[in-house]
Amino acid sequence: MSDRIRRLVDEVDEQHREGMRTIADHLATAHFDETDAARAASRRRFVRNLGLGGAVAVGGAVVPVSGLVGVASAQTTATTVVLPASDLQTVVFAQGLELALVAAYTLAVDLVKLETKVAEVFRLFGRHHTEHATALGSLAGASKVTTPNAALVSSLTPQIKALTDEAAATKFMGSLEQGAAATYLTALGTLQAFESTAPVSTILPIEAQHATVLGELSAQPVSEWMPAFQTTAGAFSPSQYPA
Amino acid sequence: MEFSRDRVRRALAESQHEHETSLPRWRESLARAFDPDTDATDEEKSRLLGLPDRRTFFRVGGVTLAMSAVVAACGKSKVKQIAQTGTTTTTAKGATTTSPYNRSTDTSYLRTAQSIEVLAVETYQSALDSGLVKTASVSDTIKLFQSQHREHNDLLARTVQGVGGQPYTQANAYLKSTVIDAAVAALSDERSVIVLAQQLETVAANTYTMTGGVFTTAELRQTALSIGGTEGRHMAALNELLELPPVPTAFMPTRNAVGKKGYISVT
Repeated sequence: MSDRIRRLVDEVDEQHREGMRTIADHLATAHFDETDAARAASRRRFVRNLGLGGAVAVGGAVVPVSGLVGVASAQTTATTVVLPASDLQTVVFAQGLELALVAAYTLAVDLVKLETKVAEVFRLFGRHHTEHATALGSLAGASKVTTPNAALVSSLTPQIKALTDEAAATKFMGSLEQGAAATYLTALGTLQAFESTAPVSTILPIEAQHATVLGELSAQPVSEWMPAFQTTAGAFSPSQYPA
Repeated sequence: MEFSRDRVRRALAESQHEHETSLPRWRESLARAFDPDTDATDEEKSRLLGLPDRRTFFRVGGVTLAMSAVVAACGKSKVKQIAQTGTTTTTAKGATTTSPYNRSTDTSYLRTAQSIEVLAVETYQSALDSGLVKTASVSDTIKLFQSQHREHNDLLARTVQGVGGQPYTQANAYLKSTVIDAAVAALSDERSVIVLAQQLETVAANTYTMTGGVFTTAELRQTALSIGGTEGRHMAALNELLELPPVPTAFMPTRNAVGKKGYISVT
């Protein structure tokens, strides 16, 4: 293995480790930033729940807060939060989508001849999706999935196998990122709990950034990768790709 | 607008290594320094931002000061933000669901977002008028972003009216007086313009991301993130122009969202 390749691998690993280190911080900020009254109230409720033995888990996901919330978990070992059932459904779908995107990037890197630097971009974005899946899995608690959305993988695999070159691969992955961003915007139209809306709001702009980078790399028209507004067009739907 | 593919790729490769070696520790240092619970003074924070070996990002002439001011003006505050009444309820299942509707809170956030959009439009105009922008692609980028901020403001104005509020038409006075005016005065070259733009877009993107977790209706959360996604795209493009990692984090932070002093009240 050349020094260059070794360094790239190390970089990706470091990216991943850094991401893992900061997930709790990101989510804690999103959930319980004390500058926001609503989220501060949410945090206080978490803490209060500790004294009550934690939230009652009925009909939803039990989330191990110790893995999510640095502030709250610092005061105890664990507590739980339960998402509304409809939120849980959306979160689980999104987690399967993220894992499918990880698989798509992996397959594209394996099958398509890519310049090293483009492959590096694919791996980095794949790592981001891994981190998203990890965070969403924490939200989903016991309902989390461990495998990619099967229907989506079935749909994407032949399309990726048909990619003939780097330009096609970059364009295709960019379209997937557009779809992911659209999916999260759609989700925000139905999610109810702050525990769901806050983290989704931190993920959506990243998918949009991915789409911008890949759109530019594949020389797509600017209007494709720098629209004035994110829309829901092209969103992946649970009806088309059941979780 | 056109970015160089070679430049993007070179930046990605170089920045990955830089990211690995400096960003984690840098981020931790910043987090410690700007944590409201620490006792770091403004001088210490500025010194941290101006360390000689830090990224050029923080060392563009007077923009070093501007960056320090942005961080000081935004982010966490020890004081609660605007008053919110009845915005949360606890379900029997323990989740914290958003309230059915809170007009005053939502209207305030919308008007605050408007004030940031107006500020961006005005700041970009100042940058264009400065004569410092020499490259066509940079000029085109700024003009596109400026036009998109106008569109964002138009949507927000309609949204404010839709919830029965009065649209806000002024630039955010707090950010302008504490950060932007001095930063514009200190602009020295094209790169300093891009750095300022990147910081503006960061505040905007962080603010919209934050509101995604606090708006009390799903429609408003969608509206906010339909804009926030684009602000994130602006950030990525500007990062590329600065030869920084275009997507440096897996999650959009909220710590540089506009602070309570920058909030616009309902009336």
